[in-house]
Amino acid sequence: MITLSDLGFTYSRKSTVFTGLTLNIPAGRSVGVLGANGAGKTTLIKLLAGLVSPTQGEVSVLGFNPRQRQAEFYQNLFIVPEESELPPVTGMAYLKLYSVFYPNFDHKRFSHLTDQFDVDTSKRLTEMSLGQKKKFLVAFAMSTGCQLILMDEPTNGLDIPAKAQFRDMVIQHQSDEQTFLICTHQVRDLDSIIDSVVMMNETHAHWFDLGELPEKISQVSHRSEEDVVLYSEQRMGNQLSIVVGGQPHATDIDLELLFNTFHNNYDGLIQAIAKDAA
Amino acid sequence: MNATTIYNLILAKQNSSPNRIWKDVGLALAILTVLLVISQFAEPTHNHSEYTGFALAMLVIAVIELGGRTFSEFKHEKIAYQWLTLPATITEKWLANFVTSLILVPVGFMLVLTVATMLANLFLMLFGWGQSMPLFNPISAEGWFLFKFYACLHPLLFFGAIYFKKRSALKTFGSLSVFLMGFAFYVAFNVDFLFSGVVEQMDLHDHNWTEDTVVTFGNSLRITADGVEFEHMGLLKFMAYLVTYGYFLFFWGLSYLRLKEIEL
Repeated sequence: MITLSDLGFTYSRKSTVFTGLTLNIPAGRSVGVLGANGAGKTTLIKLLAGLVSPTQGEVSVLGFNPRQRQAEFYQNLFIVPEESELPPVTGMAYLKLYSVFYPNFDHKRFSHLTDQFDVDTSKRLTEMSLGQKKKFLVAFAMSTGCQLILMDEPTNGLDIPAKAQFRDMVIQHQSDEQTFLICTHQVRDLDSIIDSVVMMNETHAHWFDLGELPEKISQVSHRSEEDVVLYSEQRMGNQLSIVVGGQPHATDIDLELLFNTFHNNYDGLIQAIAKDAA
Repeated sequence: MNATTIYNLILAKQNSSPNRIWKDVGLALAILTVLLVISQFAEPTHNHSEYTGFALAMLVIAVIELGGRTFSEFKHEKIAYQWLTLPATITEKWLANFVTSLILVPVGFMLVLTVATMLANLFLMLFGWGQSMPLFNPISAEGWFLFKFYACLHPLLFFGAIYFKKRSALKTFGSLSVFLMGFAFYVAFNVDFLFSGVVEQMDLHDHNWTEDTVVTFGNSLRITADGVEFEHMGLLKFMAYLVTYGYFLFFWGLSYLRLKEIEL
């Protein structure tokens, strides 16, 4: 579905966003993309959507080179940006004008989703609040029938009930062939909907299957002396640690803790996963 | 390439700001009607071709459309992401802008011009301000002249529209002026360098001199009172065609490549 080979992107010689990213993401997954500020999450989305060219390496998405910007490619890719400027037309007018470009657009689903999200489609998009606009775009994206939906900070601007609605929508309406790639720094908005995660910084990116991860590493609150600790931090009076191997008393792996492990002990984490896999 | 997709792209762009279209048409109609009434009142005419104002209005429309509207969807990042990822090829996206700016806008403007002459006549008759004027017919030699005038401006401004993000018409005309001045100096320098000796040797009192001859350059070029006589006139005409068609193809082609390469 998505393959990055030694991918790098620099705006100028002095401003390298990232370099040497290599990973594979299979189809039909809900993928969270986590990275520190400035790690290049938005740039990665732009590269996947063909909006910028890589300065190093190659990208392949849905079997296409995104930079060729083919119509067939975009019939299967929709991007929900962090900030967008929608035209001054009603939601229904927007639907009529833009849904024609997507051969698999599902009007019933759109109607259902906007009802569920409580979005008034008779209202002009420019008169909607940021949260309403975002919900409208997410509903549109999920109705296009695209195989890959890229979302950049989709929960920004959503209130607490809307965040819950968003999570429910993704869980209910994602088809088997569809992949959602969601960039965010609000890890807790995502952990109930994603089944895998891409963690990235300036030099590394890795795709973790959250279903398989507990067999390879564990999160424990009371580590023993034999445990090989990858990362540890104090939280609310508890010492939480990520240790190598599956542990009988392990708790669910917290994404923030996993990210901190990735950020502080990348080599150890990757070795632990690779060793177990081998 | 799919004609329906191009049609849908045009529809999506134009209807994405429906108020703007009606404002533009209404404003153009009002301004033209007032100007026509005033000009007819001041200097009555039976022949529109006397109005250089129509060509000037066409220039204004070219600057507004090609300077502000064409490719506008690709100039702002928050809008451009959507248009760049819309399922259509680059050629279709380019053609949607090309057809709109080269055909729909000038034809639409000429229709507005027709309505404006009708309204102007109505006012002239109602208020008895002066004699009526003929209606502007877009399907006439005059309409064709206006279209050709617009079409000649099109390639350059069309390229400027995609190349410059802001104030594209101003920057295009500015760049063109700088280029032409530079080119004029370059040509003048080369002519001086290459032909200064020839001019000195030129014998204006040569025995070949006739009443009609003003200047001769060797045996191949003669400037007379009736015009230029050049031994290789066919070649010269061919070069002129090449430059003319080259101008259109060069800037249209360049605009396509620019759109293809555009990044956010």
